[in-house]
Amino acid sequence: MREQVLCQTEKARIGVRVCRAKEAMCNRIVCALEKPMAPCPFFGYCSCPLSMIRPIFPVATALCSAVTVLILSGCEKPQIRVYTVAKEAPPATPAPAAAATKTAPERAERPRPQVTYTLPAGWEEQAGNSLSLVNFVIKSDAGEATVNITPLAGMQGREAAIVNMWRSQVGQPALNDQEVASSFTAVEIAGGSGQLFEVTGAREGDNLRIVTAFAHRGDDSWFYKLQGNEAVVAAQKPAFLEFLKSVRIKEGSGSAETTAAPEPTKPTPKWTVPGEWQTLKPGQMQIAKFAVPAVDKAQAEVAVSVFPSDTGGTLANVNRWRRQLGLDDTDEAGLKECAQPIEGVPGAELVELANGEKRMLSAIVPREGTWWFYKMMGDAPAVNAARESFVQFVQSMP
Amino acid sequence: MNHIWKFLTSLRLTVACLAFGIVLVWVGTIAQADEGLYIAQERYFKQWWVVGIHLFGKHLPIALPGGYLIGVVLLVNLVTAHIKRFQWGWKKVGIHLTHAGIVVMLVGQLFTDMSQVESHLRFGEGETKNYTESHQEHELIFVRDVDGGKEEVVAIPEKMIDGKGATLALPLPAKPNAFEVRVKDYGINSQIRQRAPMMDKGEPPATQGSGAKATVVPQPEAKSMDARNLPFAVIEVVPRGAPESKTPQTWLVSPWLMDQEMEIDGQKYRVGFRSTRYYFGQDLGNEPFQMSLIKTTHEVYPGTATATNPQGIPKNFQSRVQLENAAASEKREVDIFMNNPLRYQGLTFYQYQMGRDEMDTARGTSTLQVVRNPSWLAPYIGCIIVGIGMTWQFMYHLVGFVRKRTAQPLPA
Repeated sequence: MREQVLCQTEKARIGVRVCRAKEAMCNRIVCALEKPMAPCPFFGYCSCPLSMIRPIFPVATALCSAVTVLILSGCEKPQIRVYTVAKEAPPATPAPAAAATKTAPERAERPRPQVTYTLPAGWEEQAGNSLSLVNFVIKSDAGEATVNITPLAGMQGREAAIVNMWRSQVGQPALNDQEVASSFTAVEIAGGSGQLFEVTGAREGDNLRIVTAFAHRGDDSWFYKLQGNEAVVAAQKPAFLEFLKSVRIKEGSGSAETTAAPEPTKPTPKWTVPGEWQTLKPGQMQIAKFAVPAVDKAQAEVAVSVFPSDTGGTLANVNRWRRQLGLDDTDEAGLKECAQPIEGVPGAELVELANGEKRMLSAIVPREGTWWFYKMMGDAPAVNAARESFVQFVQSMP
Repeated sequence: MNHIWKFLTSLRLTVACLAFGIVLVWVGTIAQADEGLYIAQERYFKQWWVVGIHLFGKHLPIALPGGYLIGVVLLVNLVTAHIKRFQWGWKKVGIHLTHAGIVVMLVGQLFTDMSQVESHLRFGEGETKNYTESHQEHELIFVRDVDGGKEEVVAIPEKMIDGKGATLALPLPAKPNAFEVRVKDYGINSQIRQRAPMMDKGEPPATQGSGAKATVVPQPEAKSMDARNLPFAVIEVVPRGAPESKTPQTWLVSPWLMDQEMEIDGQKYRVGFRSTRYYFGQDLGNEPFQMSLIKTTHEVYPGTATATNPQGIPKNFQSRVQLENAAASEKREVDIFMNNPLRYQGLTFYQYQMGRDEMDTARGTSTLQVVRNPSWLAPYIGCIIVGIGMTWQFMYHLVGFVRKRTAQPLPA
């Protein structure tokens, strides 16, 4: 047999160093390698104490390589996972230990910042949203522009990201940090100092311009953004700069108070709330909120806000309310049809609006340099039923 | 066969592999400037072949063996050469041990690369989580509430939907073969914002849900370490094999958006596109557990705050967490800080980042880097073996040399 012959040849060559116990294995390997002379690299240690591991090496090598290739080729294949897990807990609440820390009570009671300002002519206030505290819209024959005030936490040092996000909106390439820093100009904001930058570009065929001012206050960064049609923004920029100067921010806690300008004291209402009304938590820019009694399933709420100006005048406010009800804007003639004075309250106007099942009853009351806005809005049956108590509520405060 | 054996065991192959390894490491390192760390890792090191490289902002049509190929060939070369040239003797024990240690390191690194999963656990003070999230990978999810306060999740990896026109079966447990997902649009990175009437006059990206009121601004792929991709997809869920509709009901999904409610076959599902989640205990078959952040501690060196660095120089980031494993009746508090990670159930929790809640700046948040690496001991064992081998080899020669010196007669 070829195998035996080869092995014998090899044995003869290496003499007594051959391990007889491993002879069969040596034969197999020799033949597998098909090399008659010096075929087996293992002969040299057949007599050593480690000879038992000799046959394992080639097998291990082959296995190792095969497994490696299999792993490398078999992994990374994404697969759809289907599983069942416990539902995620509702949004976090402070743990007992955390609640005991110094900041916990502040955290729980921290109110939303209150913003006051002098409203430029032609600006119409709109409701805030989850991000912006205050929104305005400016309409002209040339087009539209908007203004909003947004406080964001943790933005200090990330100005470049903000600038480049705005730039991407109008199709402009990103700037590096140095270019961003050089694009800033100093501006007065809320009695303190801030920075301003502008972005101009086009989107969907329209020339757009974004003027953004920002100031850091404690951990927060406040962004004031005027954006829209380029011609409108250019025309409104001087008014925007004046608006920035007039802004005052009152925060409940935190270091921001240190940079805030002196603030008028929050008015303390001395009114008589109808007994059947239910007090609710006031929303942004509201000093009080109530639910009036429901009629069947019809519901309505009353909200009261106080501003240092008439926020654009009666017509601007009425048109804003009309849009909230889905109605078109009206003019001075239309205003006379829906507004009437309130008996016993000098200068006050009562405005009644309705669209289908929705109804709104509003009162604008000037009091000692401030303007009080009362608004009852909801389903028509509930608003109608509470009309008298609403008027008495407005009249109850001197 | 003989030629193959000769090739595999040749020293030239070793030198070639090491040379290619040096080139690959250099190219992969330089390319990180253009392509970013994660992409460079994927393109150069976790590949068999690299076709086309980026150097100094230029694309060069060069092919190189990838990290996998070099590693495997080097491993095979090392083992086969060891077999061929093996000689027993106390003189060689050190060399054998050193090579064995290198083999352990190579194989260990291979398994680490294959099996390691990195993710993040981000929570605010008082928040409890039972899962971690991937920093890079996302999944399209269909979630349905089921009995027992649980939810049934179908999670489709982003890699399966990362192309327009992709169609894949939707294995809802209630109807495993009844529906399919059609991908109408996809982008690896995006910004999504509310439609602005003055700025967005085109068609919205989707007809249903949040997508009808949103605008998608595709962004280039994020490449820096501190940036991440926020992909988007526009999808349609239809019965399997249904013809294309002229008025498809499409949904925009993205990590930017909250989960949206979608009705499929009369059942309500929440659909979303979120960071891939790894639930504690789920993947490794251990008991599920959860972790709560009790308190964050952020200390800076006093007096180091400047105008350019108002935060000051950090001294210590520390998270006190509560670990709760109901199945094992285990509930304990642990401090995690730099160089003091928590190891639990094969996971290692490192302190990674610390910040403030964006909606409530009085509340501290902490991010832990969570690494699952079953072969984390391999480099330690490999290094110990190599160390022993080198010490043995050095000492063997030193002792021999000293003996030789002492055996020589002293000069008269």
